[in-house]
Amino acid sequence: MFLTKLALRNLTRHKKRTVITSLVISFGIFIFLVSDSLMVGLSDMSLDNNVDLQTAHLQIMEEEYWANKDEMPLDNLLKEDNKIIKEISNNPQVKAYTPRLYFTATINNGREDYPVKVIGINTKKDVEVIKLDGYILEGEMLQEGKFAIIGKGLSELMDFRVNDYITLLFKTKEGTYNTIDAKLIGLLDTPHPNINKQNVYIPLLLAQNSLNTGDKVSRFLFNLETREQSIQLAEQFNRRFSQDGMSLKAYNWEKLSYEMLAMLKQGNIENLVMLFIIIILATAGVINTVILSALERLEEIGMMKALGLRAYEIVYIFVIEAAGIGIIGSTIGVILGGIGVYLLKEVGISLSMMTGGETTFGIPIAENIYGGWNPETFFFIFIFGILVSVLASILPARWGAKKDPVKALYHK
Amino acid sequence: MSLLKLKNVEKVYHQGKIDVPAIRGISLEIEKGEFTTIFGPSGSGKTTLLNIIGCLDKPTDGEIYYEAEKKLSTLTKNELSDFRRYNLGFIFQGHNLIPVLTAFENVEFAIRIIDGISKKERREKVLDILNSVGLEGLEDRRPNELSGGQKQRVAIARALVKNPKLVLADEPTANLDSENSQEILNIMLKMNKKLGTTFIFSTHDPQVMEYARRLIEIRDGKVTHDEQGENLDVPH
Repeated sequence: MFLTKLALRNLTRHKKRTVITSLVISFGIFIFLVSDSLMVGLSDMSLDNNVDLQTAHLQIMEEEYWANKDEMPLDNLLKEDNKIIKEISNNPQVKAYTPRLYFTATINNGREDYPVKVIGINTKKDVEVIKLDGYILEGEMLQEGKFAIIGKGLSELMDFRVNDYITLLFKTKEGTYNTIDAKLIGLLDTPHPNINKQNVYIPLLLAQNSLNTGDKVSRFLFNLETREQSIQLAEQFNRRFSQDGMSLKAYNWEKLSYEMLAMLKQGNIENLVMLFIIIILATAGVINTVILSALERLEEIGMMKALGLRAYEIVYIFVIEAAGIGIIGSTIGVILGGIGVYLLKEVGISLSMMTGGETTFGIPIAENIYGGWNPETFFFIFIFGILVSVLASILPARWGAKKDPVKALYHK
Repeated sequence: MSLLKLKNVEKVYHQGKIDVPAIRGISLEIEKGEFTTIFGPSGSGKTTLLNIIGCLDKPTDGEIYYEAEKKLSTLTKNELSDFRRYNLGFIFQGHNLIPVLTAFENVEFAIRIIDGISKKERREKVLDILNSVGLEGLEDRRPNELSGGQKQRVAIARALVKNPKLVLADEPTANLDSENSQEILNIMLKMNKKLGTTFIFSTHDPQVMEYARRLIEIRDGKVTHDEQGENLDVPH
């Protein structure tokens, strides 16, 4: 206890040094917490945007369609009036479902072309699954007829305004070229940049007629009570499809967002890099402090040894001192981190400002990113800061404590 | 029975390929309650001898016995630490007080690391010894709030608080003026008489030697003069 008291009092010997070393640790912890909060926010928002605006909770399609889904082929389609889909949609966990027909096209404004993803949607059912109607910036939501809605980004790029006519050029199911001239009746401004820049929505019937697919659709999208239900429900549906010998397959939200999940995992690596930086900062700071302290206190170390203190007791004094620095640094870091995370959560930060331009690196967030709270991270990093300080102090403390008492006393 | 017995103690320092002998075959016996001064010119080996007696340094050769039975030269580092903790007191030239502790706490340090002393007993011992060295009322002052003489008194109190059988002092008055030096020496002499503590101190100050009851002169690592008595012939 006495040695602990002495160690803690030692923190007041060179207040400036204690504060600077603590602040170095605090800085690392602050950066880590803010970065982690951003990753949590980024991850939550990305997944929410992707699920709410693009994939829905669960999708059913032909297994072979899944393999080529990125090319949006017109093969392996499903009947729109599908008996089995209707049957399984009676499951109480299913809130709504909608068919969609995806294909690629180029959009033309009379001067230039731009490749787009066209989605034929059921104008009544689709809004029950993907709530695009809540993101109409100008004009109105899609209606049946030769109409289309596009994102704000695409409209700016191609200089389209509401009530303009857009021309879509594409290949039909038979491989012949066809066009659709549709009146632009609405502009979307969603938090998903890809939807804003790449997607064109037209009525499903218009798409089917223009592509010569008949009453076929690419996939069915399902809205469930919760995102988590889709994992168990997809398994249940797949068992049913398998029993009936069908080539249909249900995909849960994780499978539908696998590319994004893989990308978000990269964020965890970023956190590991941050941890490594904290280790370097804290270790350098603490080693420097302990070595300086040991050098300054050589005579004291000699005196303590003369009094009969063993080396481990002297190491203990330095280690507790370092732990004190760790506690101060971690506490300040966690407080500053808490303020940073609070601001991130309330005010957010612009992704384009962070990336220095319009690019969002495929992250499905168009506007501000808001941080997320992760109490476990706060606890972890607080302990981590102290632990790194303690571990970093052991070697220099041992160096000081192992000094020959005569050499220490007489500075030899 | 002697408190300390040195038999042919030698200490050689190795500086690169050169061996530098600091102590050359010293044999000595120190009786309990002695007030002994080791004197000699700088580099004569006084401090080395004191360090060896104080178990801070090990002799290259020779044997040291404590109370006739304990052979100090064979003890391990940890055993030597324990021996110092319970049996020896040190007073250094530069007092070596811990600046973040009060006078009371600096003195208490020496017995906080000894098991079996209650808080109450500790407090009594510390206050008693601080009173004995004339620091009553200054217990709560930190070293930077004390004069040079007062700091050295705290150091003496720290050395004596555990009531050691032997106190070693390396030039304890070197940093003090003559008035403070005399006060410190009087305190040490008083403690020697009051507690029966054996004092060995090194010095080259004739004023200090006048207090000695035994004078041992060392030159070139050898004892050249060893005299005991009340009125010793102090070299000037």
